[in-house]
Amino acid sequence: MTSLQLDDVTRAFGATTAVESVSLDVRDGEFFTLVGPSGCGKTTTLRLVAGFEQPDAGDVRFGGDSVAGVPPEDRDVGIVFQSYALFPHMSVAENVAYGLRFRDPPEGQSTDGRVAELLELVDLAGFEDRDPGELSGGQQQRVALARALAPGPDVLLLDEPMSALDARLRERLRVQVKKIQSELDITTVYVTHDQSEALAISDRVAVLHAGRVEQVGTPEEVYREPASRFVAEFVGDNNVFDGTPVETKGCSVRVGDATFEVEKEVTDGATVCVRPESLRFDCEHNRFGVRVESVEFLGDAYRAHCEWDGRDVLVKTREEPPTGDAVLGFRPENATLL
Amino acid sequence: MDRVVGAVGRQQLTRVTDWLSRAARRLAGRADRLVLPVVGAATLAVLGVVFYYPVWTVFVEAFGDAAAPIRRVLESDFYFGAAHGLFAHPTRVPGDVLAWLASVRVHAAWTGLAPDVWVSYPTVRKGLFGFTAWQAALSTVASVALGLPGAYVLARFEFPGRRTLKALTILPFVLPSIMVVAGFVATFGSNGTLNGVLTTLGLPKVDVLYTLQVVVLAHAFYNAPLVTRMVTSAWENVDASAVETARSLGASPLRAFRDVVAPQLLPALAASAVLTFVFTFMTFPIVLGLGGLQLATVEVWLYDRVQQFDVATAAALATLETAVSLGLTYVYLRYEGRRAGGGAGKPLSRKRLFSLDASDLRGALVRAGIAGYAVVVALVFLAPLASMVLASVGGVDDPTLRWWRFLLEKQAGSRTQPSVAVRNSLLFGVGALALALPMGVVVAAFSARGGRGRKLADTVLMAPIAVSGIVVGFGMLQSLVFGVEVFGYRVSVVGAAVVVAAHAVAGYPFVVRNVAPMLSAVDDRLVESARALGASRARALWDVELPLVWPGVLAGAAFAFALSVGEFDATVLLAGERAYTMPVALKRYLVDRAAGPSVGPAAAMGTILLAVTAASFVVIDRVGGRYRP
Repeated sequence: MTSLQLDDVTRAFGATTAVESVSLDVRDGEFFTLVGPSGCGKTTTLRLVAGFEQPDAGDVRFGGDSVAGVPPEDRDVGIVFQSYALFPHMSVAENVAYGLRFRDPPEGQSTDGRVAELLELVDLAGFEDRDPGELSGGQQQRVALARALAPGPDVLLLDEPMSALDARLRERLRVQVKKIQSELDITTVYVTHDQSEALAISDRVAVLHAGRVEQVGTPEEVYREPASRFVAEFVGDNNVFDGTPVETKGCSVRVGDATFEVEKEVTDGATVCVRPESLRFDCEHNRFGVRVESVEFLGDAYRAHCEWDGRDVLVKTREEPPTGDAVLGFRPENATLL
Repeated sequence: MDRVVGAVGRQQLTRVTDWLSRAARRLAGRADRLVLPVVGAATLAVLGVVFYYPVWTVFVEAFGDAAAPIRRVLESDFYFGAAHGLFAHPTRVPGDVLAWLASVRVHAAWTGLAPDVWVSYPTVRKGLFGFTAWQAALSTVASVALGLPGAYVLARFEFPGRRTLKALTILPFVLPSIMVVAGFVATFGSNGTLNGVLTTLGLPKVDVLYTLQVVVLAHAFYNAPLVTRMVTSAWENVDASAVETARSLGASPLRAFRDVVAPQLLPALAASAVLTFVFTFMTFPIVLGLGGLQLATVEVWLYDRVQQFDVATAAALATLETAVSLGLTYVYLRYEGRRAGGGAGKPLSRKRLFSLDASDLRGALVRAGIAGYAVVVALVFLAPLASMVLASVGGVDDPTLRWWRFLLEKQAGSRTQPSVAVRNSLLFGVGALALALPMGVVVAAFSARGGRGRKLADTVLMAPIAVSGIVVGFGMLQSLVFGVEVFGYRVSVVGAAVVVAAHAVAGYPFVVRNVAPMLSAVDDRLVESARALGASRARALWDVELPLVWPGVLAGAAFAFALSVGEFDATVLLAGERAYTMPVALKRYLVDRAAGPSVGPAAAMGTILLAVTAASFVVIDRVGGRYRP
């Protein structure tokens, strides 16, 4: 069942169109992520859902009903911002209870009971009387999450909630957020510029670029079958080679001095994408000669920056790469065609 | 019966009460949502009724009969002096100018030691407007001369009390000008401190009241702190590393000052000078009290015309004066726009004022200069206030609490009861505060949140600042007080209500200017979080923003209260028989000399005004302190 729908929504600020003809369906209980570089329109899309912005064209629907003109306070959404936005003049408990001034706690709970339950949920039981300023960034963000969830919203909106935290904390909080989300089974829209975070946490991902949706799919689909050059380059590391078909209706592509065999039929203007981990120095297929320029040690693997006739080629291998001139190759089934 | 209702009935009952509570909440939510638009609309309505409409009637009066009143003023030699020819007979102007130039004589002689050259020319009649501009120009020069060294000392030297002195420069905004008059009369009057000192020294008395010099000095007292304040903050924003860069590139200290520091000070100096000119062009109580009608400026003459019921002339004067002040305010805003914002860099380091290095001759000279300046400042600023407080207790020779008791007594047969004035002032202050605070906060909310409301809010806000109190008072007098025809009924508002409304209109811009900067510093996400949690816009303002900006609200309230207690210009026209306040009573003691003995009660009342001013200053400085003119 669809719980949240954007239908051909456009929003412009002066001359710049932040969101252009965006259509999305978010299913009930789904963890849906909007990912893209800064300025791609993902935050504006979230604000359109929350009701802080009104679309210039198109429609936003909650459970099938249009919410055009409905102010944010009547939309039953919970929102968490990157800056936490905790009310500095209220204690942790007062922050969490704020939304309960306007909506009754679900299932006839008392306000205090609801606050205690939510602080328990985010592992902050006992922090009721603290001031937000006394808490660490991660703790503040969990209070913000508890506050957004307290009134029992239909939709949870998360606007880059972890960007202000350090990497290790971010990973821990990510797991916790995902766990809470699936426990409550709440429809969630998550905005991030971090594609690895998007892949790790989401049920489905929408990749946005310059105000438009490039691709919607599961993390696996988006990673393995990118629908556009932008998606191929934005989601994960990738090597993208522009080539020409060797023959009509064939399965080989000419790139520079090499010819690559692929599994799909090639139409005109063929672009071949090969992930760094699919390239091997000892592969018998689709070989081409490169020069290894530098090697980084990553702990569990090596990453080699190579040069092939002026193209940059990125390789990730378990074994230590050779230096100087070398030959790379990849299996036909590991290449994607655009 | 209960049993008959049973489980089903109870369920139904729960459903009904649930529905009722939901409906009640929805209704409350709706009401909530109306709060901001309603207060906003009420603000506009109040402004419309007590500001825009009255001022409009003045303009209508001035432009009535094919603008005859304005033309009469423009073509009059009395109002425009030699310049009236421009309007009366423009074709003759070139000839007149040539004739004047032809009568300029250059005289040259040889005194035996050196050549002696002088120029003689026929006097140019200035007229009322010319004189007003002339005294404003003199006052501006005096204010800059008195204020600029202060900026140098405050910005470049460190000494105990520096911060307090700097904070004190905000005082002119809340200091009642009629109180300054009381202070100057207590100092320079025929029985004032100055003559007391002269008599003690065996010297003859001097009579400096009712001269241009004392008016200019009072204007400098009032406006020099403004110059100091604006230039100091510009000086403190100069980035030390820019000066250091200039020095490292080969500039001498003087050259670095000229090339790096001075260009950053000039806009602030120009802005403060223009503001001083506007204030002294529209000056009223100081000239009325210290100059009288023989030194009348446009504003004083306008007041006199209103008192004489010469409505057409008054309207024409009000219109022309407003045109001048709006033009100058525009110039000021241009300069203000060029003033640098908060300094990002490292400020210039301050020298210790009291660590004297005997071998440093230049340093010693500079310090001697500062000491001299400190004496002048103490004389100009402290003498009037000290003299006033002293005069309120009868001076050194005749210590008495008579004048303080006088404030509380009922004066038989007097039209001006001091106790009534004190009570009115405080009541009106509270009333104006109650009106100005919500008005100011709502306008600040619209102004700070940007969007479509912003430009409108800013314009609505600036207008009452640029129109003088006398013009507003005159407009209210001839519209609201004399009565307005509404649907066939003659409606007239008198006394306290009008005065409170006028005070609120004068005070609310200061609430806005204190609250708006703090509001715009509040993270938008806080409001958005509150709204997503179910709060209406008004509720979010009340629950989240106001608790965070209360220092600004408090400072704004202190401003509004102090301004109301000290307001003179509009009040003196609107007060009438019963709604007079302390400043009006002060004027009746000092200027009319009709309401009883002069300096004593005036000084006691002035001291109360000083106390209110000082208290509001402490509030502004301790909690707010972000105000920028």
